[in-house]
Amino acid sequence: MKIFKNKEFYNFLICFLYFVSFLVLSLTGNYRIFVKKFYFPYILTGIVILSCLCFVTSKRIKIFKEIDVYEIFSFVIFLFPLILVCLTRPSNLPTYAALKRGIQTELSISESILRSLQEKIETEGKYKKLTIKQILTFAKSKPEEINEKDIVVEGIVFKGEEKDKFTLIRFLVICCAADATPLGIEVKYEKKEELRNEEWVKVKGKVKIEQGKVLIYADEIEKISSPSDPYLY
Amino acid sequence: MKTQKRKEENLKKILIFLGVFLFFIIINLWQSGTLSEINKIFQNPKLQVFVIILFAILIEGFPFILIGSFISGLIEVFVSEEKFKKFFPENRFLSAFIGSFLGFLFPVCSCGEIPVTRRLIKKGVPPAGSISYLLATAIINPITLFSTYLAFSSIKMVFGRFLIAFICSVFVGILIAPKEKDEILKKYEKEEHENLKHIPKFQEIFTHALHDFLIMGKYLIIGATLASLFSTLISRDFFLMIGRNKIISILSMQILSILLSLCSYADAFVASSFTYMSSMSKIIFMISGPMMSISLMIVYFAVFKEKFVKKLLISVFLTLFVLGVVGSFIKGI
Repeated sequence: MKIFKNKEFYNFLICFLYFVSFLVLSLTGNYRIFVKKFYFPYILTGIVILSCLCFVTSKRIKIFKEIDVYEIFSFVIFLFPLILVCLTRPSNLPTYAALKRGIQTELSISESILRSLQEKIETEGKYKKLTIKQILTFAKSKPEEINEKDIVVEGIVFKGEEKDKFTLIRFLVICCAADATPLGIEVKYEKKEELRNEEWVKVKGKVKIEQGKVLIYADEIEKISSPSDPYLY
Repeated sequence: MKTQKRKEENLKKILIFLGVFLFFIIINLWQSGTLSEINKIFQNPKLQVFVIILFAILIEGFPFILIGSFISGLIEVFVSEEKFKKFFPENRFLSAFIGSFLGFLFPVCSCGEIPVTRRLIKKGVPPAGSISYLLATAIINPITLFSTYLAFSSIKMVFGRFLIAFICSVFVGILIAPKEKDEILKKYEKEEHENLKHIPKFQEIFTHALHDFLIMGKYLIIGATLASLFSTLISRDFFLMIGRNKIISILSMQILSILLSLCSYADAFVASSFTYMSSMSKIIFMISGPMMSISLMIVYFAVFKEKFVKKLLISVFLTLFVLGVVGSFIKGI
């Protein structure tokens, strides 16, 4: 088959495969596993440019240029991340990344962001619905907002070694998963052995701030499926 | 010609070896009845982290490489050499000074600036101006400076980042700029020999963009692979722990920023989380990454001549180190 020896065919294939991958990621919203929503317009721009490149390369296929071994090697390199992501099908950063990066248990932010976080608080029955980011921020800047209060919070389980205690983790992302900072809160739960590492859970309980450290005394823990957007921003 | 053929033969052997190796692994897994277990390998947390970081860097980098390649195609087709010569003075200092502020006109991320720089050099922009544009544009642009302010809520940090990036880019631009552009750029023969004058303008722009994308895209993948390997396997705490001393902290933050390859819009937020590090080492972290991260280094070697890249990397590293040490002894910054 002559087409398989044509370099321009492989150039077209590279542009087409990346065009399809970016399109699928943006249509399914799965790009949020890797980067923040802020990047969506850039991804769209990339898709438009890739579609133009597909058009140009499809025109160039008519001109036969024999492929050499270097170009095959380049093609393999371009293919490598696409194959890898299809095989591994990642859904969110596991707790292994949190351990490597060091779990942050304190968070300080500016007064204006603190105010906007206060405005965003919702309730679920008697519980205040909070994120780990909100809890850590309030614990540092406005402890009276959460201390001794009933809250509900979601995150990933990291069991650790302490008896009756585990760490609830969420990743705070600024631009992409490469810069994700793990935030963690300790949870006291007597039936800890029922939980598994990497599991997504919803914790309902009472917050206690002891010597600046947050501890949740869990009343109830419910296993949940991972949210469509696994990160906090 | 002979060495070229030998290289091609070696590359062929590597490809065949990889194919045979993969085939034997699959046969081995199938015979031992563990082929279905392969899914467990793909679900390994280390591999998952590696793939997520690799793809994150690529999703972040590819649009900018594509935008940069498109701008580069536009420059090639619509802007003549004479126009650039009018805009950029021949004087090294002045052209480096102008180059370092071009980021306000084209605020592209660190991946997008390389195809633009390559085209600027081809179009006859003085090397000093092109080099300082290459180094400064990812930092000295409104988006990066604003994100620095958001991360630290401190004008001092924004000013410190701006000033040191400016001094470093202008100084290195003046210091290492050769007289001829041929001493900087690698030549890609197939690209040079192609005659595109007979095709419509639209196709001409995107053919130039295609060349840039194919050259730089694969090196971005190699660089991102290395960066995500380091990011997956090396603990950040290690660098933060050895960096308690003022001078060593600058060195360790420089190395950490090179290995992590973070986007210049985001690195300020990561730097602000290093609570125990000195302000100066945080500033150096935010400059070193966008100028010479590992993913950029690989693309530099693809586009520029080896001798030039070595000079560029050594001078940026040393200049930043010296500026960091001097700065850390000046009170207030």
